[in-house]
Amino acid sequence: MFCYTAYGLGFESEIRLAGPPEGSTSKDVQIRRGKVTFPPEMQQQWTWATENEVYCRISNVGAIQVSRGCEVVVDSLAEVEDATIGLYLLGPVLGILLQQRGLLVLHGSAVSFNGRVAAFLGNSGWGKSTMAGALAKRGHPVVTDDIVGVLIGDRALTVPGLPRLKLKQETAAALGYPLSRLRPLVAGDERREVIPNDVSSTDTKPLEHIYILAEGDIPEIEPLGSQDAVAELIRHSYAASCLKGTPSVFAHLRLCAALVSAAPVCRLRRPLKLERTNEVAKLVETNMEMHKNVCL
Amino acid sequence: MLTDDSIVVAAPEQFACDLQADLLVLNAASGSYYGLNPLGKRIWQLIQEPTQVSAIRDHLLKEYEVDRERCVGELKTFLDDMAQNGLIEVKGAPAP
Repeated sequence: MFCYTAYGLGFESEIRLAGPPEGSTSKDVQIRRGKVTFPPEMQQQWTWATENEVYCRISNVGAIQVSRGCEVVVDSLAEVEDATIGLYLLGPVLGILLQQRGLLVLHGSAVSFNGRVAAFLGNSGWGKSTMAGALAKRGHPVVTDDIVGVLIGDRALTVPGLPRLKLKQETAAALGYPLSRLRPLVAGDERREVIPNDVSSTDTKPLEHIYILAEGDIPEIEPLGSQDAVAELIRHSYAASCLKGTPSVFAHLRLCAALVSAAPVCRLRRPLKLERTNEVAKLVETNMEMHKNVCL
Repeated sequence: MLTDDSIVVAAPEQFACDLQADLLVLNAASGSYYGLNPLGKRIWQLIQEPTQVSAIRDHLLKEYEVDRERCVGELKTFLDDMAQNGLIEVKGAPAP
C-alpha cells in the first residue's frame, strides 16, 4: 500500500503514483483494484454520473469508478502498466474526486504571489503551463498545474496541487529550465515534465485573480463583466461534462457564480511568442500588485 | 403572439442563481445557460407565479423611471425571447 498527499487529501493506494509527495496524515481517499460494473443506463457512453458515483470507460485501459469523493476502484486490462493508470488517476479521476467533495475544479494553472493566488485558465495548448513556468522563474511559486481545485465558502481558496509543468522542450529551455531537470512524460508525448518548485506548503491560499488566456497583438488585460466571467468559468471547468444530467450541475453553476463575486475574472491577451513571455509575466505582476492596492 | 392579457410563468425545471446584480438561469432540459440583467432578474422574480403581462408592466412602471410605451415594447421583446428559448410558458388570457 502506498500513501500520498495531494490537493489537501491523504491517499491510500494499491497503485503506485508518480508525482505526489509520499506519506499522509489523513486517509481521505482509497484507491484499490476491483471489479467495476457499469450501470445498464450507461450503454456505450464514455462516462456516466449519478449523484454519488462517476463511471469512466477508458479505451485500452479499462474501467474506473469514483465514489462519494473518497473511493476509487480501478478495473484495468491485464497488460496496462501502473504508470499509465497513474496518469488517469492524477488527471480526470482527481478532478472528479475534488468535484464530488464539493470543490470547483478548473482547468488551468495557478501561481502564488506572496500567498495570493492567480489562476490562468485555458484549453490545452493555450499556454497555461508556460505562463506558470515564466512566473515561477520570477519568484512566484507554482501552486498547481492542469487541475485547479477551489474551495468556495466566505472566500475562494485554492488547494495546493502538484507543481509539475508539462512543457515542450524548446519552451522549457527558453524559460531557463536546465535540461537535466526535465523528465519525459509518456511515450509519444513531445513535452517534458518540469518541477519548478516544491509544494510550498499544504495550506490553502486565497484565489484572488483569474486570467482567461487568449491571443492578441499586444499583451493586455481586459476585465470581464459577470456574465462573460461566469461563462468562461463554466467553459474552463474540469470534467464538467461528467455532471450533465445530474443534480451536481446546479451546484456547479452556483460555485461558478460565487467565484465571480469572490475574484475578478479578466481576459489576458498576448502574442503567442516565447520571446515575449517575460513581458507578459511582468504585466501580470503589475496587475496583481495594482489589484492588491485596490483591495487595501 | 404575446398581448397585455397573456399570462406568463417561468417554465418548470429551471434553476436560477444570483450572479452579483445579474441572475443566471439554467434550463435543465436543454442544458443552456442564460444571463439576465437586473431588470430581467426583476421580471423573473415576478413570473415565478402565473402573471398577466399587464401586471408585470404595472410593476415595472412603478419601480423604474421608464416611458410607458418603451416599457411595453421592451417587456414584450424580452418575454418573446424567453418563450422562444423555453424559459417561460405563455398562456392566453383567462376566459371572460
